[in-house]
Amino acid sequence: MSGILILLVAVPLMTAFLLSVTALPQKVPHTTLMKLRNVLSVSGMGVLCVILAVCAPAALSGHVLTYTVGGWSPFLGVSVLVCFLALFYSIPHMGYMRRMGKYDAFYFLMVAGIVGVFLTRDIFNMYVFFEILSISVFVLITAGEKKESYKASLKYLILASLSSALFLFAVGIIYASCGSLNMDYAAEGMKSMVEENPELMYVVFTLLLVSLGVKTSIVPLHFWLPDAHSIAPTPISAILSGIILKVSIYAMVRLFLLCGWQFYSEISPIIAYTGAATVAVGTLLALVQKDIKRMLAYSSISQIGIIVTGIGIGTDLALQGALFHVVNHALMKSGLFLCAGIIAGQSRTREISKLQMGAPGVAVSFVVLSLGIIGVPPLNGFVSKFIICYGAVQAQYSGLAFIILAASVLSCGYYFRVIQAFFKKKKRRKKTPMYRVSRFMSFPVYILAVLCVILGLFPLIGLQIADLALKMVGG
Amino acid sequence: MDVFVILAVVIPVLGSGATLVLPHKRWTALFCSGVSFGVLCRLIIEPLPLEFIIRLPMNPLHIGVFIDGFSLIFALLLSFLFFLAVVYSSYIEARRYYSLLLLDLGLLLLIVFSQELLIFYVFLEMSTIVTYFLVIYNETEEAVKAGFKYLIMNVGGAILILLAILLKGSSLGALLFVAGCLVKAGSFPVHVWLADAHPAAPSAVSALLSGALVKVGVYSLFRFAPHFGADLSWLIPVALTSMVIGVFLALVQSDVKRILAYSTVSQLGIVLLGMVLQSDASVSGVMLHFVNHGLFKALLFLCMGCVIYATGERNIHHLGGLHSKMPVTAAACLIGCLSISGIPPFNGFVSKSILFHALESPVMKAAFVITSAGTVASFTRLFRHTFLGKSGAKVKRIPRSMRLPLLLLSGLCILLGFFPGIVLSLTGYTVECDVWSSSAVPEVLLTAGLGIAFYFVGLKTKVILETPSFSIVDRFFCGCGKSIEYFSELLDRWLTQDVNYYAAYMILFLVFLFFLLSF
Repeated sequence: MSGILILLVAVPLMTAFLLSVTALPQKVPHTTLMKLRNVLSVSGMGVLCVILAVCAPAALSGHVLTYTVGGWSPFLGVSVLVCFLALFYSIPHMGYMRRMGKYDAFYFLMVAGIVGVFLTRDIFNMYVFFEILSISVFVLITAGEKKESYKASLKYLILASLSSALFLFAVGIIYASCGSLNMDYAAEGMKSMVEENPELMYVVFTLLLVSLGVKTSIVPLHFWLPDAHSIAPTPISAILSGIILKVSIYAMVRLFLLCGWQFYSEISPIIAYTGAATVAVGTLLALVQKDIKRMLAYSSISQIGIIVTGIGIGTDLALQGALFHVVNHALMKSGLFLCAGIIAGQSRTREISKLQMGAPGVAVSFVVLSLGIIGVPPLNGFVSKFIICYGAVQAQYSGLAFIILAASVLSCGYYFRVIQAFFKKKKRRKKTPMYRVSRFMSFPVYILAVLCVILGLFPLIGLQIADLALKMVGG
Repeated sequence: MDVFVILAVVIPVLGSGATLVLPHKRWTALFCSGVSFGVLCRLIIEPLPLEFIIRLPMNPLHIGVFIDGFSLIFALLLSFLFFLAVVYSSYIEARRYYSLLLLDLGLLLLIVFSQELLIFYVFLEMSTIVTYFLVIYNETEEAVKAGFKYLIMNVGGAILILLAILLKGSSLGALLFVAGCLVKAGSFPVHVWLADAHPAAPSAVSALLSGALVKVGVYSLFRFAPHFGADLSWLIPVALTSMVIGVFLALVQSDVKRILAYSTVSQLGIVLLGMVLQSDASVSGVMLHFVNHGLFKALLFLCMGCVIYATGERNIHHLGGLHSKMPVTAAACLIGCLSISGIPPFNGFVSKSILFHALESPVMKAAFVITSAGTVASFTRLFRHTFLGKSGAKVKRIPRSMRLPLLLLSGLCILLGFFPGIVLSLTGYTVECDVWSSSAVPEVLLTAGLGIAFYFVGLKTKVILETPSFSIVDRFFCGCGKSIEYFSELLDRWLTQDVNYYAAYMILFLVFLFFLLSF
């Protein structure tokens, strides 16, 4: 079994390598190369899915595999699914970057990073995979090849490198005092460290919170996110918001829970209140954005805040809700970004008040997905938000439940500003050549919207997964 | 009879999907709402209350169904009004309109039948969103604006209810629940969405909003407030204020649908008052008035819809003399006006006099008389300025399908005026109140005289000829929204800086956390 698990990382790496090789031949026409690349990337993803499907039954039955995917494999599955869908979405994109073969190569490097972080059982490996992830994201953000995209990428580069330095620092301290970086052994060491030298443990916690906080963009550290997410090409924005934020949330849950519940309950209020601040600031800032992708990016901040609040509350119920919200937000937000890309392309602007309805199917999906984010039943967002709020009230954090629910009223405001723009009658413009929505672009959106409805109607699917994942972390 | 209940709900929901694909969308919609109404009628002869649970696969929530007399009456009213709305909307072609109507009917029936709070909330929120799309159906600038206000206030109300469910057991929870229900019911301080949404929506939808949807708020208060152990006595002043303020705002409006909307605020104040008093007589009066108001207010909205359809005019000062051109509409509107004013032998008279006799304190009685007189005045004005006087406007012929609901509704208004027992026997409450006694005559004469006096005084002083521009409450809510937005803009400007600062914030946050933990 362990061989297969290594393949999960090796396949995307190999695909990335092969894709970068396709840039070498000089005399082959571009169209042939493009076709070759499409075949390569789709088959690479396909193989990845197959491997995952092979591992899934064992992991879902609660069996811990060597390299431990454990209960987290559903999260990995969701990530791979979203990456796959976003890949389809990017097939019709024929930018310069794509022609050079860089786009696909870095795309797969990023996938390798995501899979690696989820799979690894070693803290230093986690750091390495995070670096792979970040570096490929720097490049992918610039794929739009505009001046702002370089600026946004640079901003992310500076902040992310600082955060990696802090992460490495924390890893160093853990290694120095525990003598091992394997999570199983480190957990033992860290538990004894809590008793012997709590100050040092606080330092480790602070460093980890700040460094992962930059990557998850909790509130005083969120500044890179709106630029990077709104300027990146649409499929990359979808993955950035949908998956990559979740990867660092995964790392947060994993590493914080290593220190044991006693220490965790000591520090968790800090996480909870930071999360609440993130919800409030993200929502308020989303309210005034004029650019649809920027608004979605700020909305991501507020949703991440909800998840972090759930983690900070720390009861089983709240953690379960938070993990379910991780899955839900991954599906909903990536779907929304893909929708926004199509809608903005059709109305030839990204300004919210000037958007047009365009293809009705995409508009309906946008409505469904945004209702999910707002937390309207019977969609999945409602279930997870409700569970987090319920957990908050049970743990005597009623104020946090209030903030989350108030934020959903405001989010109703900013999402429906977009939706009502579809319905405003506008002056007919001169006939411009139609923006063609390829099926590769619209189908991923439909799939994500349908998944949201299914998870909302049958939430036990998601809740059981979240429960399993919690048991794996040692809850 | 579980099967009938499930059928009554499932058929409209399935039908809402079917209207999107089948070629005969209107007939499908008619069939589904008609069947739903028919099946509900069948339930009348079943023994009540009815109780059962539907379990869903992979879902921890169970739908507990509970039907007693009151919920059955409300469900009948809902499905009847929706059926009429489908009949009436023959001029609307879009598939999504019918689909949304049917979906809303299914959801509202589920709200009425649901036994548990959380399930109730789930359907309430869903129906709020569906109704939003009905309100903005016209897609005009006005409709979109009104829809936004409707949406934010109603979702806000629903969120209050959710928060109340979370905090159930505390006094704060009870307060929040009542507040959420008041928003839904469009009661006085939170009535602003109602006045905007009604004129902007298509006429059939405004009839549904007033006739059916706002009543959901009062219904839920009646059904679920006991779960919270809420003390409702503080609602009496709220109800009295919305009665009086609503009717006087109605008196001075110039938009015909806005007149009806404000009158809904005042009528719901009356219903709320009866609900809060909770004596047997008042509750039975409330249930009767529930149905009666649904019927005559829907009738009035549909009449005004015909007027607007025929003339394309909504301003009361530009209308007039339509009685000769639209005799059926004029007659139906007259019946509606007499009903709402509480003139015998129409249905409004019966329920209003039962409620009036259930009131105890003189303050309430005085407020009630003033409200009734104001209603008389505003509907005298509505009828006189629309149908009497000089004729001017050209009139488009209204189709037969729009006239049929008017006839049905006015027939019911008369029928329930003579036989209120039809409704009352279902509720299980019986009233020992002889409304046809001789004491009724001076009461009616008093209110009618007072109302007509109000009207003529208003006409002489020209108060009711111009639309006033006082909307303090509306401005308060808009101001709240604007100040949040202003604050966010400040925050946005303040937080957008150079990347150096961002790095500095990061280090500062690190240091801050470190100090926080070490002390």
